[in-house]
Amino acid sequence: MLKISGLKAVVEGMEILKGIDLEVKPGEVHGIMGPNGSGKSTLARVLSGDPTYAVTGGEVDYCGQDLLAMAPDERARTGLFLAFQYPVEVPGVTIGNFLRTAFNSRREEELSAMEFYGLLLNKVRELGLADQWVNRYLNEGFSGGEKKRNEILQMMVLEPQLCILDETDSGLDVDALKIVSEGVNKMRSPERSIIIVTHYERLLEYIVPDKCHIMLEGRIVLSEDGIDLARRIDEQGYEHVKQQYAAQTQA
Amino acid sequence: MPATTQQLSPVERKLANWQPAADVPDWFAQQRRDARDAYFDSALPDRSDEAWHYGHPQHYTLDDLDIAHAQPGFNGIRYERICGLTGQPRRIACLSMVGDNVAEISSSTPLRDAGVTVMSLRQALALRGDQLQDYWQRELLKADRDRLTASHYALIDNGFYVHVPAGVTAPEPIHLIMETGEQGSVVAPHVIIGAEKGSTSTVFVHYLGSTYEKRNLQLGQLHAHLDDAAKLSVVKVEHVGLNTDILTQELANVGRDAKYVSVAVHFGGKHLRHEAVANHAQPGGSSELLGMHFVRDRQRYDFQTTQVHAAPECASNLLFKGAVMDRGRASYQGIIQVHPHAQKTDAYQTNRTLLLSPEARADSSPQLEILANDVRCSHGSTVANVDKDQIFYLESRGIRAAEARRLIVSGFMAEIADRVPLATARDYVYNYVLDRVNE
Repeated sequence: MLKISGLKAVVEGMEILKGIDLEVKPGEVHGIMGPNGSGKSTLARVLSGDPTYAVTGGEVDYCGQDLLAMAPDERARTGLFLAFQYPVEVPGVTIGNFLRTAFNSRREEELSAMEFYGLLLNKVRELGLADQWVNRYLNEGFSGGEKKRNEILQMMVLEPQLCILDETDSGLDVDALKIVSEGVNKMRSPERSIIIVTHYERLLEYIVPDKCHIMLEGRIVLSEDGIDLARRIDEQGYEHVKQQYAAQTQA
Repeated sequence: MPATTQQLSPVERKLANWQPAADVPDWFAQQRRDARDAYFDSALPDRSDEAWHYGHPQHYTLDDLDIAHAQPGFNGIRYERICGLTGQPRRIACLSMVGDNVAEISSSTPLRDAGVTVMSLRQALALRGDQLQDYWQRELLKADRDRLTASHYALIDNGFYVHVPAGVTAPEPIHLIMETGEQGSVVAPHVIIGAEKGSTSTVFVHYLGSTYEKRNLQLGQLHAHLDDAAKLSVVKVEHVGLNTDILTQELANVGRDAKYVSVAVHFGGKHLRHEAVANHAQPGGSSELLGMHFVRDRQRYDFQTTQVHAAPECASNLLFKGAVMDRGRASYQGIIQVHPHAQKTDAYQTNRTLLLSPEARADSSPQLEILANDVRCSHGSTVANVDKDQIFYLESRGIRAAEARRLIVSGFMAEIADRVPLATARDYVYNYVLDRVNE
C-alpha cells in the first residue's frame, strides 16, 4: 500500500523530516507516536501534499504510484485521506455541499443529490450527530471536538484506502473518543490501511494497531508489532527512548 | 439656464428646451425646472471632496448622450433572463421600464385584492398626485446637492410607484424591471415605495441591459418610506451591460419601530457608484443594509453608505461584501452618524473584500461620527486574497483547485446571497458568481 524510503522534508529552511522509512501493508493499522516537535504531524502533512513543506529527498510509493509526483487533490482522488489536526474553517460552504463535491470528484458519474444525502445522513447518525449537521458551514465556529468528529465523518463518507489520522484524539472527551473510535474501527478492512499519529497512547487502546513506531527528531527510531511499545511509552515516557537513541547515534 | 446652447450635449439641449406635458401636476413640473436650473448652475463634484476620494464624477456626466426613448414592446431583455430572476413573470406583479416607457408584464390578483398599488411614476403623477407629492417632499436627496443629483431630478421621465396600505401584508413580492435604453442614452428611473403603518412587503428591483458599443448612463434613485412599524425588504439586482455607467442612490426613511432590509447585488456596469442611506429619525427602528458585488474586467465600483441615527434606540447593521477579479477595482466609504440625543444606538458597519487576481484592487474606509455617549457602534473592514489553507483543505478531499476556489468564493458571498428571499433570484445570483470565478 505505502512504502516510504529516506523521506526528507523542510519547512522555512528547517529540516523536519530527516529520512523516514516506513512500510504499511493493506489492512494494517499503524500507530506513530513521538514527543512534540518530533515531526510526526509533518510526516502526515507531507504525505497529503501540503505545499507548505518542501520534499528534499526520498521516495514514496503508494499502490505502485509515485505519490510525491501527484498534486494534493489527485492523491485524495486515488484514496489518500488526512484527518487534520487543525481543520480550517470555510465560511458559507455547507458540509453537505462540500462533501457532495468531494464525493463526486472521484466518480465518473455523479451520485444524485437525493442518494448522496441519504448516504451522508446515515454516516452523520452513526457518529451521533443531528441531521442539521450537514447544513452547518464547514468547521465554522466548531469546537475542537466538533472539528475532529467532522474529519471522521468525511473519512466515513469518502471511504479512502489509506487513512492518516493526525492527533484526532486531542480535543475529544471520552464519549466522543469512543464514538469516533467505533467509526474508525468499522472502517478497518483487509483493503484499507490506517496510520494513527498521536502523542498519547489512549487512542491506540480504542483502535488497536498492528504496529507501533516512535519518532524522534525527524526519524522513526523504534518499531514493534502490536500495541506494547505504545503502552511502555505511556508508562515510562519518551526519556528512555531518547537516551537509547542518543547512545546509538553517538556510537 | 445656460447662456448659450452651443456647447451642450444633445441631452443638455433637450433639458434646456424642456416643457412639461399637459397632464403633469404643477409641483412636479416645477421641481423638474428647478432641477434643470440646479444642473446648469452647479459643477460636477470636485475630486478633493472627501465623498469622491475614490470615485470619478466625470464617469457619470451627460456628455455625448441622448435621452433614452420608449421602445416598442419588450424587446431588449430575453424572457428567460426575467424568469431566472423572478420565477414566473406571467403570474406575478411585474412592471418593466424600457427607455421612458413602463409596461405591465403582468399583474397579481392577490396583490390587487390586498390593496397594494404597483404603477408607473407617470400613472401615479396622474392618479395619485397628492400622495406622491407628500412622499416627494420627504425625500432625503435634493436636486441642488450637486450636479449629478440634479441631473437625475432634471431627467426623471418615469419610474415606479409602490404603495402598501396600513396593516396590509403583501401576499407576494413585487417585481420592478428596468432596462437601459438604446446605446448612447441616459435613463433616470425614479422609484418611490411607500410602506404605510404596520404593513409588510418585499420589492425586487432588477436593472437589466446589454453591452453596447456606445456608452450608456443610468441614473437611478430609489426612495423607501417606512411608516411606524412597517416592514419592508428591497432587493436590488443590478446587472446591466459592461459599457453602462451607473450612479444609483438608495435612501430609506425608517419610521418608528419599522424594519427595513435592503439587499443590493451589483454585477453590471463599467463604472458604478452606489450611494445608500438609512435614515433613523424616529425611535425604535432598525435597518439592515446588505450588499454584494462581483467586480471583473476593468470595472470600477465605488460605494458610499450613510447610517444616520437621529433618534434614540435604533439599530442599523451594514455588511457589504465584494469579490474583485481581473483588473477590477472596488472602493468603499461608509459612515455611521449618531446625533447627540440618539442614545441606545446599536450600529455596525462592515466591509469585506476578496481579491481574486494579482491586479485586482480594493480600498475601504469605514468611519464613525458619534455624538451620543450611550451607544454601541463598531466598524471594520478586510481586504484579503483567497486563503491558501482553505484551498489546500478542499483539495485534500479530492476537489480540484478551480472548483475549490468556486466553493470558497460562493461561500464568502453566502452571508449576503442567502438573504435574497426568493429561490430563483438567489440561484441567479449564485450562478453569476460561480460562472465568473475561473472563467
